[in-house]
Amino acid sequence: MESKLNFFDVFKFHIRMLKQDKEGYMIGVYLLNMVIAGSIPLLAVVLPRYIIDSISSSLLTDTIIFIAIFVFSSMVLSIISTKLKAISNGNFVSSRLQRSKMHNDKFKNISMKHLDNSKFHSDRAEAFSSMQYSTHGYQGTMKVIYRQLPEIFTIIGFILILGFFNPWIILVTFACAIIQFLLCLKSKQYAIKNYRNYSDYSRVKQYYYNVTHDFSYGKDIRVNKLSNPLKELYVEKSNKVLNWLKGRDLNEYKFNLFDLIFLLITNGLSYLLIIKAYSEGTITLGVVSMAVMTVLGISMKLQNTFKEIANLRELTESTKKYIAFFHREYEYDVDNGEPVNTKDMEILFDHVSFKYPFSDHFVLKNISFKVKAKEKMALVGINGGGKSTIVKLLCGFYLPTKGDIYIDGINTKSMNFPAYQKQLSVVFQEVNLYAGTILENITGPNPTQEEIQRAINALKQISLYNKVMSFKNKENTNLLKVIDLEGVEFSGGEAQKLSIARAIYKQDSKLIILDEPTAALDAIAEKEIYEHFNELITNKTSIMISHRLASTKFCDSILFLENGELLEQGNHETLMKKIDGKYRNMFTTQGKYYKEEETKDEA
Amino acid sequence: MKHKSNLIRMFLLTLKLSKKFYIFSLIKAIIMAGKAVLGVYGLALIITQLANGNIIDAMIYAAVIVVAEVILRYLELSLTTYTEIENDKVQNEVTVLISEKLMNVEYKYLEDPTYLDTSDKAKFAVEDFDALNIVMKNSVNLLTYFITICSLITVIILFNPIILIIIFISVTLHFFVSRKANKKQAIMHKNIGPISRRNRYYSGVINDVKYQKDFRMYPISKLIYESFYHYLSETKKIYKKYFNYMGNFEMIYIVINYLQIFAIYSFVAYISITQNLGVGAYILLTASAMRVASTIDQFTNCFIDIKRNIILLKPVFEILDMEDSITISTNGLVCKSLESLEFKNVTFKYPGTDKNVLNDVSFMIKKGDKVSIVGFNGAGKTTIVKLLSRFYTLNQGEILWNGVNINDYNYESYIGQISAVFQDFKLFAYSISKNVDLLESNREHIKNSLCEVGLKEKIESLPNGIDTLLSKEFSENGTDLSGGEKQKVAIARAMCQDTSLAILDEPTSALDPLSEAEIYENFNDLVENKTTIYISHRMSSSKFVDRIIVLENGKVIANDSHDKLVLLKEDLYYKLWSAQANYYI
Repeated sequence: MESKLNFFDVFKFHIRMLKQDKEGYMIGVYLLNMVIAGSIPLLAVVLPRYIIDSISSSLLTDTIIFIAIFVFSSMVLSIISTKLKAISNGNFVSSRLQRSKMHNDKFKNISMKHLDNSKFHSDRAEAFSSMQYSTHGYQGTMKVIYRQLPEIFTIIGFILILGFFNPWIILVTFACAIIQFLLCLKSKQYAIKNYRNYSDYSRVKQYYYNVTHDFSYGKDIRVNKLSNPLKELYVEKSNKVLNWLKGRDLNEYKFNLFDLIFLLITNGLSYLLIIKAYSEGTITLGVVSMAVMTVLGISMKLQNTFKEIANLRELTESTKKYIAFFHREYEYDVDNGEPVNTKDMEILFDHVSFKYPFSDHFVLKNISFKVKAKEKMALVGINGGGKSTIVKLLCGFYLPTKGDIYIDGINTKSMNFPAYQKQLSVVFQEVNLYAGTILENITGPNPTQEEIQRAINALKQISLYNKVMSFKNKENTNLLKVIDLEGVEFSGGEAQKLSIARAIYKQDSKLIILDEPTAALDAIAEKEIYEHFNELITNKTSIMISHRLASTKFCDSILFLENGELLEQGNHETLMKKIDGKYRNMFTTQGKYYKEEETKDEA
Repeated sequence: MKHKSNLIRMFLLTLKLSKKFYIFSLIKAIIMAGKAVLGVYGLALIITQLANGNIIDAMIYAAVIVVAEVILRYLELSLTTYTEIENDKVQNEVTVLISEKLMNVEYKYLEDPTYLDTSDKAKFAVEDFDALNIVMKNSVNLLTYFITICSLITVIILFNPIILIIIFISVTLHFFVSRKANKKQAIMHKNIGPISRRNRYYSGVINDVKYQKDFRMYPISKLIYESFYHYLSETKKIYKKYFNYMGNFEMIYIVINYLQIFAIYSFVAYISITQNLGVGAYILLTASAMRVASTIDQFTNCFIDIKRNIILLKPVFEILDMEDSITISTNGLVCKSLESLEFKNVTFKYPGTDKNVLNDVSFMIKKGDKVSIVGFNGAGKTTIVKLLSRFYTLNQGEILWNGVNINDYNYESYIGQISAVFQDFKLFAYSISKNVDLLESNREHIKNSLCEVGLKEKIESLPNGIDTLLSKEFSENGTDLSGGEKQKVAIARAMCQDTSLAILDEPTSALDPLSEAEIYENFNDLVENKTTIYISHRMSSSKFVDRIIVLENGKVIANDSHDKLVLLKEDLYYKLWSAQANYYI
């Protein structure tokens, strides 16, 4: 459990971050601005006093001199403070962006097991949202502090001025402001206490917002006539958010009304005391004007500052989530452990059972099998049998719950996964293309000449080369339209081919895994891919998942899985000999639609 | 001017959504102006009385001022709270309108990159720039400023109109500087837009769980992180530059501003002394003059802000203007159950492209037919589905439903006759049952459909059965179905609907052979009496359909039964068939 963070942890965090970003000088900027920007209002109440007194005495030259002093000193200070503001505004944005980088770096290579956990995602989303907006969370805090430091400086100045005049006013003003501050803190309690509700509501609302705005849902929304129901749901969910906000606003309003009493007390008392002092002849008109302006100024600034401090609590609350996220320990796929650097991959599953973290259901039950080096193995069976889970275990995304997996004799529990993953080529079911050039989608950034050549060879091998060459920028054509509005979009089949090119490109790979890669392809393209694939996997260990049993027929061994259990194992011929065998049943079921001799179609 | 009309539209739109907002705002504008005027007069009144030695009067004035301040503050607080609540409501309702529009516009827009861009911009304007909010609030401020300026100018004119000339000069200078600054700002915003959009894209990819597998296996992670770092530092740089630039303009303002102060103060001091107006008049005049000058500045800034944000809101109106007449219109014939469907010389190319995807395609489907469409990837199969769903309008030829052009039917009733499983179908994060039929009109029927597609066991294994939520994101009890299971739900969704034409585009691509066979076996039960168009790369499906339409390069090259087509050994159909069938023989 994380320790409770307080206000000061957040400030310490901010300072640490400034130092970490090598922008420690910003602390100096904050302080300098405090003095400079804070002096401007002081000048604005002190100097007019002399101006007014000179006018009262009808001294024109003195008046003009005072005016000149007042105007030019204020101007110089304002100019400096503007420059400082420009520097810090830029810094705020960059510091916030730097935090999003930190978040993304923290997310990098995080162990897959966290990704199944909804708690992890909500923690992460909260952390992320604290630096998503310029007025909330992290940047909001900095802005408020930057703005309020000079105010505090001014207030201290005001107190000194008033102190000479009448300490009572300060005392009353202060007492009122502190009570207001406490009330304000209390009014924010509502939002802090119910923050979870709010984030839940807005998460659901955001989902509907995304669905309604996401064009890829367009077809289903139209054909299934979902536009009205979805709209209603969106309205319903967003009303929840609105009601929450309304509740918060009304609650704050209730507390704000107390302001009126304090306004009455402070202003009433000040006028009374000042007028009284004047009538007793202790002060001049200039001092009256200064005193009134100071009183009005101080009560406004005190209220404002205390409100901002209360506001700061709300802002830092969300930054705390961010800090907490960084305090929490997560597991990573790190570059240590026993390196695998084998000539051939030999795989041994030894009584492996597996359930996903945060689930009670075993998706693999006591599975044992062995794949010899350079052997071809197929995983077949109905959906949900556990085939893809085996692939995930083999990729090192998870460790078995029970039992062990050995790759070339090394237990995966003590293995260096990143090093191992370098020797794997996996073609996943879902193909993702990224905003980058076609080449970069295969090689990653900044490929060398040799890497480019290999990528091009891979494109040739899967017969995507001609298509790529037909684009204006050839292999340097951008995919998607994020970077380049002229970027191309691949069809499902082309995308699939590109993902296979990625696998071919990895020259160090010793183990090739195909997780049903041809689902989106036409019959000829599919056949082509399996033919390329057979070339590709010669001399390598390979594991293939396919629903097209024709394509797995020639594998050295075939595993038939059902509900997480390994039911049959052997090559095609042996398995076909088992009369009531599951594999045989599946093969014939699928094959019968292709048999010409079958008497009549099932209908 | 186009922007002006957008401004008027914005008012009409938001006024319709919330009259309260504008009523409250109007009152608030007057109150705020009153507060400003009181602030200027207050001190001057008291000092004048003191200077004349009327202590009692000064006390009375002070009391009146304090009470007035309290009352105005009360009104301000109340009105602020309630306008804020109304404002949130209006903001939300506008996003609802946009959502509604996006779900109802003609589908062709959704595949058009320009509209994609427009919708991004609209989203950006409303969400990131808060443009609507700014325009609404500033319009109200404009009124406040106007009232304040008018009442203070009256005071100044009574004393000495020369002060107004000084104010006018300085305001004019301000105006020119700020116009220049705004132009620069607009340019910089334009540059910031694409860069921060890319930054968001890459950050989004990094944060999306579905890409993690690729990241572990391929250099993709490096690509995405490097691009992210790149655009992140670009974003930082451009923002720093932006603030720096804006800071420089602000400095010019400050100089103008203080020169103005110097001029006004000196002038007022001069007349106060030479004309013997007294200290009270000095305070009143300087305060009014400064207030007028700053309010005029605020007024122009406010005006510029409105103008700028109205431009940002342009895409919002573009979206609201997109045609949805087809989807929401109730005009047209009522579409009856399918008797015959005919493609008559249909030629089609996607908007903005030159290549005909379909070229003079003609075929006929009769009630009860089960037809399959086969061909290479990119042959135009999916396009046929899109045309049938009225997502696009044809370039040439027509599609006839019961002999009538499909566009002549009322959209709602037409689309009500069609159910479809798309290749890239989507399910939603609500319960399985609601995914099949959102209204859950007949839960038994839903259950049956789910059983028929082979989800019986799966559903029984789930704690909440068909009420299990299809996402873990919102509930610990939710479930993430596998690709195949999702596909089954999508099939059930299409089949559960009471329609007369079912279109299935690669409906079994993610299914295992047994599930696929199960769908094939149950096919007739599933589709019931629906006429069916089946698109698949699994050539085995050809066996249970009555007829096969073979497409190549957008042309129909064959249209016959499997038994006949398979005999033509030289033709495409045979090649496709044997590519898969050979392994099983």
